[in-house]
Amino acid sequence: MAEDLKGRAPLTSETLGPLVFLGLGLAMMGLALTQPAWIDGRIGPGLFGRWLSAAVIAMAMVWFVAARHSSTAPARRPARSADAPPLFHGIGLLAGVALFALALPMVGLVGASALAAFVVRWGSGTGEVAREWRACGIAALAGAAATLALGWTLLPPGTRLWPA
Amino acid sequence: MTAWLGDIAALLTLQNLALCFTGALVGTLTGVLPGIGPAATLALLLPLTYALDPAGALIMLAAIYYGAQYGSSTTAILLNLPGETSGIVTALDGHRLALAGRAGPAIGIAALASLFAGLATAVFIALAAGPIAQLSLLIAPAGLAGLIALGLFAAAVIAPGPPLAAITLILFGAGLGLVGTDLGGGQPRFTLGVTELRDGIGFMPLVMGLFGIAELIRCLETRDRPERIAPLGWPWPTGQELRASWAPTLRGTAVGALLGVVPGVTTVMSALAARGVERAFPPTGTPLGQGAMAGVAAPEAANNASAQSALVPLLTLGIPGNPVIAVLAGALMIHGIAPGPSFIASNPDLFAALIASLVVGNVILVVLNLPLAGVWASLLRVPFRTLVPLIIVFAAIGVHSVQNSLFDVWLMLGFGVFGWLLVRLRLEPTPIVLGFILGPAFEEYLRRTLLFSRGDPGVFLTDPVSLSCLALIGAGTAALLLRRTRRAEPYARLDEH
Repeated sequence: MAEDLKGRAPLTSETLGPLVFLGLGLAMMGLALTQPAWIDGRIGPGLFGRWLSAAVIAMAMVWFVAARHSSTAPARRPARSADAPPLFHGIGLLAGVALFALALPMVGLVGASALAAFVVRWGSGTGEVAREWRACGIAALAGAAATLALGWTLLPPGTRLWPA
Repeated sequence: MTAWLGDIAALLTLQNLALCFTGALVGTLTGVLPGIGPAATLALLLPLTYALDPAGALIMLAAIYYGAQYGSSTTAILLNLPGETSGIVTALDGHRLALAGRAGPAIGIAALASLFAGLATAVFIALAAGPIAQLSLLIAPAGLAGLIALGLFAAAVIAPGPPLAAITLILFGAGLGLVGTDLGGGQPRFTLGVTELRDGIGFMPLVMGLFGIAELIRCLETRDRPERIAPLGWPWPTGQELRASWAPTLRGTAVGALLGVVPGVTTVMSALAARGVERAFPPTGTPLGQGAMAGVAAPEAANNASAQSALVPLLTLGIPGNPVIAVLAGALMIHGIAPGPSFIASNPDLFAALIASLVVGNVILVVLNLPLAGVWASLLRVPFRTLVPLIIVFAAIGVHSVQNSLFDVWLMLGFGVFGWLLVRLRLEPTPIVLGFILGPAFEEYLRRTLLFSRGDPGVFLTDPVSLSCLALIGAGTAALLLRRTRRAEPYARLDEH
C-alpha cells in the first residue's frame, strides 16, 4: 500500500497544467527582458513584466510540486474516465472560426458565416457529415440568413456582406 | 433624492425600456439553457450592445446579467440541472418540489423572492455606493494597489480548483494585460512586432475565446440530455407557501446583499450561506432538503441580491469581485466607461441608468418568468447542438465588427484553442480575465506610488490601507498553508506505515 502511495505519479492534467504555465512564464520573462526595467531612475516598460513573469514561474513551480505531491495521495487521484470526450467537437468549432476568418475576404460575411455554421454544426453533432449533411446544410442556411438579418439591421452600412 | 428619482424617471424612455426588456429576455433565454454560465452569456451577447449609447448599453448589459441569473432557477427546479452554478442550491429543494407536482409554485416563489431581493438591493446600491465611492476617492494610489491585490487574492482563493493554479492564472492574465503600448513611456511592449497588438489584446477576442468558444466545446463534450421535464402547473403559490417564504426571502436578501459586496464571493456562496442561515431557524412546514419553499426562496433571494451588490466594488473601487462582473467591467470599458472611484461622480446619469435598469428589469423578469415559464421549459427540448452554429457565427461577427478586424477573429481563435486546453487541463479561465482587467490598473497605481515615493517601496508598509491589505493577504496565505499541512498529515502518516 505504502509502496503504491510513494510511487511516482505519471504526467496527468494536474501536473501538466503547471508545466504549461511554467513554459508561458519563461516566455513572458524572455519578452520582458527585452524591455528596460528602469529609464533614468523611473519605472520602465519592462519592470512590471519581469516581476509578473518571475511570479508566474515561481507559482507554477510551487503548483507543480504541490500537484505532484497530491497526485500521489489516493483520495485525490482523479478517476480516469474510460471514454474521454471526442476531439472532433473542439476541432469542428475551432475549424469553423478559422474558416470564417479565411473565407471572409473572398466570399463576404454571408458566405463566410454559412461555411462556418456548416463546419460548426458538424463539430456539434456526431462528427459524420455523411449522416448529418442535412442538418449541416440547414445550419449553413440559418447562419447565412441570420448574418443577412444582422447586416441589414445592426452592422455598419459599409460591411461587405457579399463577394467583391 | 428627488433629483435622483427624476434622473431615473428621465431614463425610462420607450427605447431604454425596450432595451431592458430585450436584455432580460435574451439573458433569461440563455440562462435557461443549462451549461452556458452568465459570464459566457454576457460575452456572447456583447455585440448586441455595440450600436447603443453608453446608458442604453449599460441598461441592456445589466438586464442580460441578471436575466441569466434569473433564468437558471427554472432549469434548476425543472431538471435539477442549473443553468448557472448558484442554481445548484435552489435545485436541492426546488427539484423535489417539481417531482411532487409543485414546479409551478416553486418557480413562482423563486421569481417573487428574486424580485424582492432585486428591488431591495437596488435601493441598497443606490444608498451605499455613493458614500463608498466618496471614501475611496480619499485612498492613496498605494492603498488602491493594495485593494486590487487583495481583491485578486480573494478571487484566487475562492475560485474553483486549487488556489495555486488560480493565482498563477491571474498573474498570467495580468501579463496579457501588459501587451500593447506602455502608458508610461509610449513604447510598444510584448507586441512581438505585430502592429495590431500595439493597442493591446482586445477584450472581446480574449473573452469570446476563453469563455465563449471554450465553454461551448466544454458543453458539447460533457452535456447530458434531460430525460424528463417535470410538469409545470399553475405558477402562483398558495397563501401557506407565501407565508413559509417571506422570512427566508428577507434573510436571504440580507445575506446576499452583504456577502455580494465582498470581492471574490460568488453567487453560489451567497446562496449556500443563505441556506445555511435557514438551517438555524425552525422550519415552517416542510423541512429543508425535503421540498421546502424556504429552500427555494432563501437561495434565490441571496443569489439575486449577491449578483447585484457585487456591482458595488466595481462601481466604487473599480474592482470586479467575480468573473461575471469582470466581463461586465470589460464590456463597460468597450463602451468607454471606466468603472472606479470617480465613476459615480463623473457619470451620475449612467449610475441612475443602472439603478433604473435594476428596478425595472427585475419587474420585467417576473412578468417574463411567471407566465412564460412553460415556454422556457419547452426551450429545453431544443437540442443544444442546433444552437451552437448560430452562437459561433454571432460571436465571430461580433468580434470582427468591433474594429472591422480579421486579426481579432484570429486572436479569438487563438484564445479559443488556449481555453480548450484549459478545459482539458480542468482549469477555470476566469482568473485570467480578472488578471487581464486588473493587472494594468495595478501597474498604474504601482507606478504612481513609486513616482510619489521616489522609488521607495516602503510606502506600501506605511500607507494604512495598503498595510491592512498586505496583512490580510499574509493572514490568508498562512491560513491556506495551515489547511494544506493539516490535510497532508493523514497521507504522511499513511506513508509511514
